[in-house]
Formats: sequence, C-alpha cells, structure tokens
Amino acid sequence: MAHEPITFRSITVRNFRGFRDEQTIELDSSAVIISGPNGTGKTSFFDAIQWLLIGALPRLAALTSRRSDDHIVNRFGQGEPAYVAAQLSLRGEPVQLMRAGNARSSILELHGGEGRLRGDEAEKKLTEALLTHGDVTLEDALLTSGILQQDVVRLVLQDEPKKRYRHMASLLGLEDLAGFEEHVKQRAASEGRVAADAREQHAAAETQARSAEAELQRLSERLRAQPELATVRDDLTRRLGSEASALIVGELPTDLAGSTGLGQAARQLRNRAEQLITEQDILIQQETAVQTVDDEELDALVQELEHAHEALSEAEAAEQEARSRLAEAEERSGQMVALAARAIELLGTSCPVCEQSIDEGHVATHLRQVIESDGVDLTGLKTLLTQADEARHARAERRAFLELRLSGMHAAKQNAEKTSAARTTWIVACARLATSSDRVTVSEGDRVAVGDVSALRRLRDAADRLAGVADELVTVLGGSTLAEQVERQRAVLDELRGRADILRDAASTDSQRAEDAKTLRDATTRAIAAVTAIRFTQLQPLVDDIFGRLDPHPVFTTLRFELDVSYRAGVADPIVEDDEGVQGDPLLIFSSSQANVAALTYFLALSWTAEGHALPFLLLDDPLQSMDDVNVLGFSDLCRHIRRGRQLIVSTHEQRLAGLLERKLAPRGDGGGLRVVRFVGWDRSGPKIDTSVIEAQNEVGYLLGAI
Amino acid sequence: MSEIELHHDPALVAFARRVLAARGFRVRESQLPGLGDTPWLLAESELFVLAVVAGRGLEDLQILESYAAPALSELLVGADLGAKRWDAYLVLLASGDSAERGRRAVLDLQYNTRALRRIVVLGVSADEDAVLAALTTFVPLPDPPSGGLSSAFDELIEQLVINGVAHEIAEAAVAAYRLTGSIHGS
Repeated sequence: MAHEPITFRSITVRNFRGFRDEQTIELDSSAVIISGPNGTGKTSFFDAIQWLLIGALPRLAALTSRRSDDHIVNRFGQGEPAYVAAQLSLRGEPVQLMRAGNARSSILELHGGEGRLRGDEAEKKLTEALLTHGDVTLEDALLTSGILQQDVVRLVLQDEPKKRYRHMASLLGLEDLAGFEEHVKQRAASEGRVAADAREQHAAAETQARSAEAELQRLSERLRAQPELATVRDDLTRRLGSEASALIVGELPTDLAGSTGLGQAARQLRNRAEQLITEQDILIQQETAVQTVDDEELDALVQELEHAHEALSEAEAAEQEARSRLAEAEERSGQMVALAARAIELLGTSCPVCEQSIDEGHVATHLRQVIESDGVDLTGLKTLLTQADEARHARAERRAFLELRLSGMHAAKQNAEKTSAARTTWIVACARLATSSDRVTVSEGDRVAVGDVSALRRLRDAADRLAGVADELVTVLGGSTLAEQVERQRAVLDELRGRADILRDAASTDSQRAEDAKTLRDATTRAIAAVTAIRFTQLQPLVDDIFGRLDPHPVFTTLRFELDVSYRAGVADPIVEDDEGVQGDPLLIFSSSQANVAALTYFLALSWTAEGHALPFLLLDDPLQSMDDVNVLGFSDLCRHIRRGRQLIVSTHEQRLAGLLERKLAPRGDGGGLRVVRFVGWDRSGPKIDTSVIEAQNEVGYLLGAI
Repeated sequence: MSEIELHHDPALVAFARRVLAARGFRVRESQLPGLGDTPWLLAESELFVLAVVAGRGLEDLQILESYAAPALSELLVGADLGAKRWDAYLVLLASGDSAERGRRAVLDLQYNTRALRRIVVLGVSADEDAVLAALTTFVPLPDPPSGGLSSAFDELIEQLVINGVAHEIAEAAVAAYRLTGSIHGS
C-alpha cells in the first residue's frame, strides 16, 4: 500500500465559535470532504483547526471593534473557555494537541514523544514538527499555503497595486522582507530629518557668524578712522621708517590683537637674532682653538704604535722565558738538596770507615755548594730575568706614550668636525631667521641668510625698536573703548566661527548618513522587487500548470503578476494573456468565479512549491463558490493529484459538487479511504454532523487488458 | 457522410500515445470505429480512462466527437470499471483553429458531460510539450523544487549589492534586522 499522507486523525471541539457541546470528528483519511448548507458550522470547523495551530483567527481579529467582543468563545457556552484538541500524526509520530482559552489568550498543550509540553515550549515544538525550514512562522505558513479562506485570497486580486504587492509578498513567504523594507524606509526618513536639522543649525550658525563679522568690520573701520589713533599710527610709522629700516612692516595694525601679535613677532625676531650673535662668538672661540691634524702624521703614528705593540709582545715573551728558566733551575736545586739531606740521615753519627763523627750541617752546606757549582748558575739566571723585566717595562712605557698621543690627535680631529657642523647649523638658522616672520620682512634678508653678523646686529636692533613701537600701539589702542569693543567682537566672532565649523562637520556627517540610508532605501525597494520577481519566476511554471488544469477562460490561458517599482514602492498587477500576447486585467476581464480560480491557482501553486515552508496538509474552505461544471471537474481532478502529497480537507456547500468530489476522490487501488463529513444542521448546541467512510476499491477494473 | 471531408491528425495521436505511455498509462492505438483509417487512442490508468482523437480544426473535432463519444461510451458500458466509470474522458485535439476557442461550438462540446467528459484543445503544436500541456489533467503535478525556496534574506543581500549597496553594509543591515527586528545601529 502506498504511503497515505495523513496529519489530522481527529479533532475535538467544544465551546468554540459555532460549537457549544463537545464533538469529535474523525479525519483519518488523506482526503476529507466537508459538505453542508451554509450556516451549519463548516467554517467554524476550519477556524477550529486554525486556532488550535496558531492561537488566533487573524481575519476575524481584524474585524473586532469592541474589546469585549470575543470571536473565539461560543456565545451559548456560559463563559467557559473555548477548547479544541486534535490527534495528529507528525512525521510518523502520534501527537496530541490541546488549546484552551479565548480571543485574548490561550494555552497550547502538546503530548508527544518528549512527554507533555505547555505554552511557548509546545508552540515551538509544534512549529518544528510541522515546518522543516526555521525562517517561516507557523502563522505565515498556515495562511499562505495551509488554509485557503476564499475571502482572504481574493483580496490579492482586488487590492490596489501597492497593497496587492505587499499581499503577494506575504503569500510568497517574503513578509519579513516587507518588514525590513519598512524599517529601512523609517530609518531613511529619520536620518533625512536629522540631516535637515543639522543643515539648518549650520546655516543659522553661519548667518550669525557673518553678522558678527560684519559688525567687527564696522567697528574696525570706526576704530581706524579715529583721529588721535590715526596720528599716533602715522608717527610710529615714520619712526619705524627711520629707526628700524632693517625691517619692512607695511601698514601698522589698527586693532589690539594685531598690535599685540606684531609686538610678539618683533620680540621673537630680536631674541633669535641675539641668540645667533652670541652663538657666533662661541663658534669663533671654538674655531680658534681647533688644532689641525695632519692625516699622514696620524697614519705614521698608528704604524709606530703597531710596532710598539709588537716590541712589547717580544719583551714580554723574553721575560717569560727567563722567568721559566730560573724557576726550573731553582726547582732542580731544591730537589738535589732534599736528596742529599736524606742521604746524610743514612750516614749515621760517625763514618763507618774512619769512625770520625759527621757534622750534618757542614755536610749539607757543602752539598748545596757542590750542587750549585755543578752547572746550575742561579745567580746568572736571576740577572737575566732582571734585564728582561727592565726591557719589557721600557717598551710598555713607549706604547702608552704613543697611545696617548694618538688619542689626542683623534680628539682634535673630532673637535674640528664638531665645530664645522655647528657652523653649518648656525648658517641654516640664520637663513631661517631671514624669512621666519609673516608679519614683517627682513630688508637685509640675503645678508642675514649667509650669517653676516653686522646684518644680524642691525636686525636685532630694528626688531627691538619695532617691539617698542608695537607696545606703544598696544598701549594707545588698549586705552580706547572702541578698541575694546573690537576685541570683544573678535572673540564673539571666533566663538561663532568655531561653532559653525563644528556644526558644518556634524551636518556633513549627518548628510552622508542620510545619503547612505537613502541609497539603502531605494536599493531595498528594487532588491525586494527583484527577489519577489525571482520567486514569481520560480512559481510561474506551476501556476501555468495549475491554471491550465482549472481552465477558467477559453482564450486567456496564462496568468501572471507584473511587478514594478513606482514612487519607491513595489507594485504588482495581475495579468492574463492569450497565446498571441494580448493582455488584460483579470478583474476587468474575468467573472467573479474566474477570478476565484485565479486566486485558487496561486494558493495551490504556493502550497505545492514551498516545500519545507509548506504544511503537510491543505485546508480548502469552500473553494468552489460559483464555479461552473467544467471548472469544478478540473478542480476535482487536480485534488486527486494533490491528495497524494498532502492531506486534503475540502469543503463545499453544494451537495451536487460534494457528490462529484466523493466520486472523484474515492481512492483507487492504493488503500486508504475517503472520509465524508456532512454538516446536516445546526442549533445552539452546535453542528449536527454525519460522518461516513468510503473505502478504497482494492480491485480496479481495466478497460484495456493487463499489460 | 461521404460529402464531409475529415482531416484527422495521426501525428498528434502518436504524440499523445508517447506522452501517456511514458507516464504509466496503458495505451492502445487503433482505428476509430466507423471512420475508416482515422486513428484513436485508448489510454487508461487507475484513475482515468480516456480516448484521444485529433483533427485539423474545430469542424473535424465535431465529426470526430460524434463517432468517438458513442464508441467510448459503448466500451464503458461493457466493462466493469467501478468508480472509474465516472472518470472517462474524450480528448479532442486540433492542430489549428486556436482563434475558435470560446466559440459556442467549442463550449457545446466541453459542457456536454453526458456519459463522459469532453476536453477540447485547439491550436496544439505537433510536439511533446504541447500535447503534454493538453493532457495535463491526467498527469500528476510536477515535483516541487528540491530543497524548497532559497532564503529570501540571502537573495536580498545579493540584490542589494546588485543595486549599488556595499556588501558589508547590506550584510550588516540584514543581520541586524534578523537579530533584533530593527536596522538601528547597523
């Protein structure tokens, strides 16, 4: 027997919407037909499955206007919470689900292989068991490819283009991208506002600075035009011309800051010139003291020192030789004396031959004399050592003398080099001084630059006088109220300029951020349109296939959505097309039932395509509304293929169509069965339901004989 | 009868035979009773039993239907097919007359569900894909793409880069959104 896809084995409903008394409905087949007149509880049955799985009925929640309205709990149930339970088979494992609660809150319980789970744990486990991909919510999956509610899906066709685009994106599992786009747009708007504020603040600061600058200009003009001040300036200018001709000053400043700056510059010039003059004296002394060192003499001395090293080494070797020979002779002499002393002990106190007594001391002294006279000249060796030592000492002294002399010559040479470097540095400093100030020009710059001390002295004296003039100017200006105003205004201007600079930088940064956010926003709209288009392209072959099976229109046989970006928003327009390329809007061309077929086509294509995102069941609540016979037949044949991959639960209010579906969906030869649930009536206790099972025909007859 | 010229299309019947046989149908091609050398194809699976005839245009199909429908009905009456009796189809294929779709004559054929259902397809090219599309009712839905759809966010990053956003900015914005539900601070 082929595997039969069954998810829901039974469902129990109590106190939920149209159900007050508890009812259990068996669903243990790959195809279930729900039939019955309108108002007998069919939609409540589908709602029960939806609420059990996701704890909400979004299409009804959106319609609830009063907080006290509860669209979940049965109106005749004495306020008890709604309860829906189901026996499921999830990936081959039996699972029991239960949900109790109302429109505001509910708790899910799941009993399965891992025991009993409640609340969030149960919700998470249920999602994992139903969906293999983790990036889609159970609600999204259910509403886009699990349960078809005709009124919801038809909105796709009836919405205005922008809403339709969002709705289609949602159906394609791209809802999160829409959320991302919304955030990107919000951020672009927010960054744009921040940047505009920053630019406005910067512009205001610039205006303030310009205004302050104009005021400063005005005050400065007034100050310059003051009669007594003009006189003082003219006098000082004349003095400078006569007394400080080594410097060219140009026009004297008219303000306190300029005058103070001029005084500081003049004093710096004077001090530096003074320092260079002092350094010149020291340099001359150093240069006078420098000794000239002849390189040839230096080379000869180095060579002589090498000879002295060698001579000293030879004297040291000769001394060492004499010392060794003396030590060796002394050792041998000592050994002989010791040997004689032992021999004397053996002699006894008298001679065994002549019996005369023996004087040991005398014998010993005699023996030593004999030994010393017998080829060992210790005295001569000692004299030799003394001579070698004196020769070594003399040569060491010579070497030390030469080393000292060489060291002196090296020091003299280094001193000459240092003095030369100091002179070069001094010249460079003179050259710098000649061009060091941007407030005044040194009139003898060329001479100062080459270290002409007379020119330096004239520069020092002129700078000294200029400092005096600048100080006088400061004194005069400092005594003026107008000058104080100028200074205060200058301080204000400096502060405003500083603030404007900071705000300009901030505005620049904010503008860049706003530009980046805008780029991201525009790119996001286009990117999402492209991703959506890719999804549609992936989906289109299946849409073509299903649309062809349902065959709602004799000429317009292709259905697709045309995507575009308009005013930074994605738009989606449904298009039907004939085989010669003639296009039209299905809502304008199609009848209501044909539009239903178009919507049904997209839902079924999504359900079939989105494997991994799709649920292992398909719930179709009255999809056949106002379809004609041929469409219904096409749909019925399509259902026969769908039930092989999904548990199919389909409802209709038309008994004739229910009969057709019963015949079409009756299983053939592959076991399993078809369950028919008839909602035959309804009262306050709930729906009246008859259930029957149509078993598989195990023996299928063939018109053509077995092959 | 002899005054009406019938143009049958054996090539379309042959393609139908190939398409259905390749999908597990039992098939038998023979001469349509009463119409000389006009071929018709009988095909059968556990769900469907169908006959396929083919002509050049709508008029040919009207003639073919008048012979094929009673011939198939007669066969059905004589066989013990169980519930499959209600899933009998006569498929009428025409290579021309695509502009006639929706005409009353076509609808009269399609909406005649007496004894069996009639499927009329006009403008069918003589190739396997076109014939398969005409017979799509009888073949299973194509398999879903293996592995499902690729991650929308991965595709989004690729498209943002194509649309001028630096890869690291695109990646940071998407990562921040997926992690926190916001792109603030990315």
